[in-house]
Amino acid sequence: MNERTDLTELRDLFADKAHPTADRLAPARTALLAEARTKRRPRARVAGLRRLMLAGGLVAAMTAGVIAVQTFKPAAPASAAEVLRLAAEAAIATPWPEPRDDQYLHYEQIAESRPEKGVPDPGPRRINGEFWDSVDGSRPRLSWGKPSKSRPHRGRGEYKELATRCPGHDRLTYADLRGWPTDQEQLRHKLAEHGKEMVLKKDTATQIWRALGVLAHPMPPKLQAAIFKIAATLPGIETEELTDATGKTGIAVTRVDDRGRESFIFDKTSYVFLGGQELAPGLGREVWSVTRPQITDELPAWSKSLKPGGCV
Amino acid sequence: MPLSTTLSDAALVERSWRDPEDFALLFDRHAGHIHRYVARRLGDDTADDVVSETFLTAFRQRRDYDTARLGALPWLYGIATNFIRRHQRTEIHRYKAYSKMGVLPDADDSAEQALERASAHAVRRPLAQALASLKARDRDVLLLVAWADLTYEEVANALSIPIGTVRSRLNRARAIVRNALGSTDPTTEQTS
Repeated sequence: MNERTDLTELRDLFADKAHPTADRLAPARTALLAEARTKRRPRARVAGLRRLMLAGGLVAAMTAGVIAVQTFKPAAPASAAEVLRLAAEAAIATPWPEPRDDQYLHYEQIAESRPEKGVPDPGPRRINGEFWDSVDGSRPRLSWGKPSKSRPHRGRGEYKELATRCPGHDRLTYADLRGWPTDQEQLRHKLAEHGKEMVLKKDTATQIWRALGVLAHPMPPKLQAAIFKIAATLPGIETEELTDATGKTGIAVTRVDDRGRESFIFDKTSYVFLGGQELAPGLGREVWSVTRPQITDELPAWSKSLKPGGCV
Repeated sequence: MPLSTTLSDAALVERSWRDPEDFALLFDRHAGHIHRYVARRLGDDTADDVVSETFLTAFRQRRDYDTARLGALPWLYGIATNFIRRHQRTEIHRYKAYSKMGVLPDADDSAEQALERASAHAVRRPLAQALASLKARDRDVLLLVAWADLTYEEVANALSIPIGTVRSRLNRARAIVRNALGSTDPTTEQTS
């Protein structure tokens, strides 16, 4: 009996067992819903899923409760619009060879939750991930999650996985973003459309601001610069000093809306984009950072042993 | 586009932290797979209970879910495995009954169908006997690979054991299965 045959025979054993009908599963579903309804709380706002999807799953744990007022350091000297203008210049200052569709963008991303006073603590979570994104999304995305040993998060440890892009999934690829306009008016319209799905509030400035989470994706520097320029024109932006997920202190541009306080953090001297922070009442604080991607033709050799998983 | 088709499992779990009823979307997505897997091991009636307990437990533990893992199936299989172990005697009884009769005790076939199936599947009886003889922990690993189609890494995560342990348990279980199958295969005897 060869090595393949034993598993093949085993896979066939009782394989005629049919999938259960919806009627069969109904009592279990009802029991689940009954329990879920006892835990239901008033819906305060649109769930903050955006970061999760943007960060490819590297999302910090959020929890319920009342959040204490956060104390920020005094605002940095430059105006928010000036910071964003300098960030736009910094974005295009470094040469950027445009990647081909069949290449990958390799970058690092860190996400961390920082529980606040009054919020039940789900345990500190910090995940450092490396990603290899297919430029056009046609090939599997490689993720390598490396939880901090000094600050382990709940759940499971290191993981490496290959995932394809689900048909119809709205996760943006670099190729998608390359198709976005860099003309200010057209891009403003595009961002507002993108942000509409994320906010209850309907004013265009809030929609655009919330669409800026797209900055967590690798994107052409020209587009990033154009986005910063549009952000600079939004009302209600202010500067403050914040620490990014790597622990580096930077200058942040912050705006407050009905979902909370969202900030984008820049290096204090070079104005290179470092990452962001979202502070949502009752849910805690999530900080994330992203490195400038490198272009590569192939996935690392160790990924060849990975079996492609499901789609994301 | 409905949420159930656009969001990853991790996103659904995270969403359920705030909107608990959204966990039902995860149920809709995976309960069928979990039920079929458990039913192959324990039969439909016990599978009904195990699936219910699995999703209630998963729901209660949803805040511990590592959202860096986009797919929740290994996590759910891990929880289901813990409940399956509570029915170990039932499981072994089923395999032994199949190995003797060629028919599962809870099969709802007519007598004629059962006999036909028993004849067709005679070669699989030693396989069922081998499953009955395995240590529970080895059987869990083997069936998560063979029936749930999990990778070694996913099995390690599902059972919270090192991947090396997955390999050693799987090797041990497969050696027993191969031995059981080999003993019924005259071709193997001639060529070995």
